[in-house]
Amino acid sequence: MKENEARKRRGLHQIALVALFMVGNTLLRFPWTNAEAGVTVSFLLSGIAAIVASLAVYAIARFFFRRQLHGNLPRILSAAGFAVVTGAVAWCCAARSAGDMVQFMKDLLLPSGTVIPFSVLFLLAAALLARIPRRGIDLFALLGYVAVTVAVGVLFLRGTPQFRAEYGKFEIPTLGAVGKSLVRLLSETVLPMLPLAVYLALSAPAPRQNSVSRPLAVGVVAGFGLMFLCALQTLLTFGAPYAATLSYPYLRAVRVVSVGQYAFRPELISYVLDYVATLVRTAICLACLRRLIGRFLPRVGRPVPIVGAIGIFIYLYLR
Amino acid sequence: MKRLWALPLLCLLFASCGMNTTEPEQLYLVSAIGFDAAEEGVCVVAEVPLTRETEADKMDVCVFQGVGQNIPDALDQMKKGLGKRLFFGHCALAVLGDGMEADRLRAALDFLADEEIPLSITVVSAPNARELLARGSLSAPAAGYEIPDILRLQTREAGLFLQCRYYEIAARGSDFTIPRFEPNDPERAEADRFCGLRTFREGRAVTE
Amino acid sequence: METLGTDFGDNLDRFREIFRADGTFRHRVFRSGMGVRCAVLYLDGMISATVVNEDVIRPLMQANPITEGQDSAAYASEEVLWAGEVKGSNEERTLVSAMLHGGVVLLFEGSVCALYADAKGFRSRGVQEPQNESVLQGPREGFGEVAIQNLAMLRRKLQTEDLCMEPMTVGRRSGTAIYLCYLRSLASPRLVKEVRRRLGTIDIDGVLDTNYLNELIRDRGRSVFKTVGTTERPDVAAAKLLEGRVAIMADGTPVALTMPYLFAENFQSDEDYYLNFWVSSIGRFLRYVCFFLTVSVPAVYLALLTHHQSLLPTFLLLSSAGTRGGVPFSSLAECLLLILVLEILKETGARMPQNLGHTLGIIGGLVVGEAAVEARLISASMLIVVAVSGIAGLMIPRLRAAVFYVRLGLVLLAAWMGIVGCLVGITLLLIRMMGISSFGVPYLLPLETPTVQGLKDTVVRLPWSMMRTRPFFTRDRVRQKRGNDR
Repeated sequence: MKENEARKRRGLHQIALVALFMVGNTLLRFPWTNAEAGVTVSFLLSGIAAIVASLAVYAIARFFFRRQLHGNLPRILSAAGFAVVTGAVAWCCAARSAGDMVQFMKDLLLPSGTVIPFSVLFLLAAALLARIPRRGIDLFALLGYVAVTVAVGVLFLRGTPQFRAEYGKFEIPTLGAVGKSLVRLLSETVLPMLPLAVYLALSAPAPRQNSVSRPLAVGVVAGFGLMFLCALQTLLTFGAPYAATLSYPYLRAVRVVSVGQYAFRPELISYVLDYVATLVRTAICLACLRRLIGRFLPRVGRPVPIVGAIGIFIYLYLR
Repeated sequence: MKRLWALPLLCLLFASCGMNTTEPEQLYLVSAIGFDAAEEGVCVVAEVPLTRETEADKMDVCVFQGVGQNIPDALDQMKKGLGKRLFFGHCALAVLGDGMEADRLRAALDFLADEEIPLSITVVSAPNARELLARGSLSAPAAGYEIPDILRLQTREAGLFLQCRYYEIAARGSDFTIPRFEPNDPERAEADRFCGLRTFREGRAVTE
Repeated sequence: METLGTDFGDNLDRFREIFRADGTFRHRVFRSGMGVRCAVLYLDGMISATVVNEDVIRPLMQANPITEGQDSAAYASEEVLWAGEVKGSNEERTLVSAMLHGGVVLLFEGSVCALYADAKGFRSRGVQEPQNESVLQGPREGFGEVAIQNLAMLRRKLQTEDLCMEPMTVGRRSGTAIYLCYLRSLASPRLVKEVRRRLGTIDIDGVLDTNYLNELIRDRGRSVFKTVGTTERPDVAAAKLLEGRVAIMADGTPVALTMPYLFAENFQSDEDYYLNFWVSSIGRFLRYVCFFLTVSVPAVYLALLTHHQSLLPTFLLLSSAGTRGGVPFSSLAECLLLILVLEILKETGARMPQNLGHTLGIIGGLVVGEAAVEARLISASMLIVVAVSGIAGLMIPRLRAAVFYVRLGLVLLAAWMGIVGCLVGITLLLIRMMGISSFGVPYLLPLETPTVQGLKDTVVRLPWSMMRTRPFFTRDRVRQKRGNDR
């Protein structure tokens, strides 16, 4: 009974982690900013691509890191090469998501003069989250996912009076339009799955094949479902052409939702949603970096998230 | 002890940026903004309920005005006489006076796209924005809150469906229809009345 | 200190020298019925005069003479004395310690061995209901200052040979007796070993209360979150032992420690298990809500009022702006001032004699509340916000310290960075809590398990028929078998 409960616990946590990671900072800029026609189809295709890519990378990571590496030089070299590429992708994803969050907060919420302190505190939170044991991240992700799902659901339901049926008409796009937006979307949805899949492969002790693959796939679907709901709300509130002209379109869609006459502005909920999702993505990317380096240099692994966060801060400051 | 180094760093961060706070009494909360055509260019009108230690439904209302070649100029002129910052975060109504067409209309709508102004601000038409806003209101602290209430009531009771919020208008480009209001006679208790629709085609008014 | 010698007079003089400045030291030298001189040594106030007179001196006086070559101490121990537990020793340290703990020491002429017997008779407080843990329904007895009596009360709750009460001594100068209590079949051996190890590392002058032990053995010694529980109720201590926890009792204090202590326990009330589960669940849920309210409401309100006025409801903003007119302090200063006054009122209310409590309430309510608002020193809206936060905090007294510091930290962050500061503060707090463990058990353990069995005793309290399992760190997790359902 204890093992069943533990397995059920792990599965739910992993789904929540993957779903929240999936949302990440993608929601800040996705899907309608500078959108082309055909972005709806591209969005769905990129979801399928994300599932396939994450499962493939997960399998490759397990192949390289499931057993001990010592004594097998070709394997060590290929694993190191894989680690370097994935580590670079992980750091870039972390930097991008942190950068998006800082920009988002600077544009909308932060008082003047507090951008640098916020950057420091955000990166510190991500680095600390990356350093705590796996079960801590799992709990944070579960709490975050529950809060985010409830928030998105409530906002969607409250936003239905603002929806316009004419914005829901679907036009079949051309292949060229789909291809153009798909290339852009792949970098938003598929590329970040690399560090996540590697993190899951490295953080679970000798996992069996179907102990993580299923939660990974379900989590991607759950995350995409959340994003789809947000995108749908944006689309039905503003229509695709107008939504494409807005910065942070989902936030704008939430802003027009009202609870009561002049009672309450629920955009605060969407700030929390974006913050939690982006923090989890940044933290997981740093945690992936830590585990990759820790595989080869165990003693060096622990301070890696802090060093990575400092590197991101320098990059953001210079940018 | 090993984490004590974080404390001076935090204090340094804390001290380096100060507390950029703004108290609510340091702001003029604009409830409605109006645009009228003027000889010099544009006249911008802002309705502000004065929060002076009274209950919310007994507030005085003040209407500020500024005239300039364009909207930013007009706003600058308005601000010259003010001791507090204008805050548009709770602006619920935008009034387009007669004469606000073509470029002036485009400029007004672009101004309403500002970050601070809510996207759901109600846009109406009136013969003169200043007169409409100066008339005051009966059931709300300011006309800027009363007129959207009137429209909501019309939607609910008369079944009138109007897409007159800013984001609904912006999605339609330069072709849209908005409600029209006129100030009532001073003898009447109601401050203003809903008197039909005004349609814009390619930025020009076509019907009343 | 040394061992006793053969000379009776020298031995007696040694004790007189040790206790020469002690006004409670008593001794009586007499010729016993055994035919040898005896000396009875004790500390007045620590012993029961009846035991000394009737069970020690009288039997010795009425004893039969010993034969030549027979050891008088051994004879007295086996055939004369009526006292409960009699031991022999020739070490001064042991004999002095026995006297200091309420024993009586007997010296015999011609014997190098002395006897000591338990004759405790010091005065102690009777069994009373703990003031800080009163309940509407359920047992009302509480621990006292005498550890042996407390152990007996615990024994009455758990009448099983499985109950272990290991004695230890801590405090170089106080020699405080402490007892490590656990149920052998439920407590994890690793947990018991770890507690024993940590207690063994304590090297301190004196231990006058279990809080000394608490701060010396707990994880994260300087954290505002408790990782060791406290209770003055034997029923609560017994319930904790039945969940596989370990309790520590110390002589001289009614407060028992329990470990591991998890975050969810801060929201459990002693009577949650004595009231109907519907009633308990409401109270439990309210406590979680109140925790959230008490730490976040002032900070969120301050952030919205001073940084994000567009997020406040319109009429609330108009009202706040109106009520703040003429107030000489900034919102931050007002908030901090009110929090300070609130803490002063709470502290003085706790320390004040009961008959002055009403006066304090009137002063607090009238002066701070009404007069300050009318004088435009503070605004009514901020007063209400801080008052709501303060009242909510009273629902969770166990988190008092944590609530104060967290609330203050969030208020400062909110003033600095607005709602973003609140978000960052709450995030860092959560991450910090995730890294805490209590004797190897994760601090947020029950909340990590999104199943019925995992959450059955957290946000709500399910009926007893559904509480089938014990916590994950217990050795035997099955609390009750199926078949108790109706």
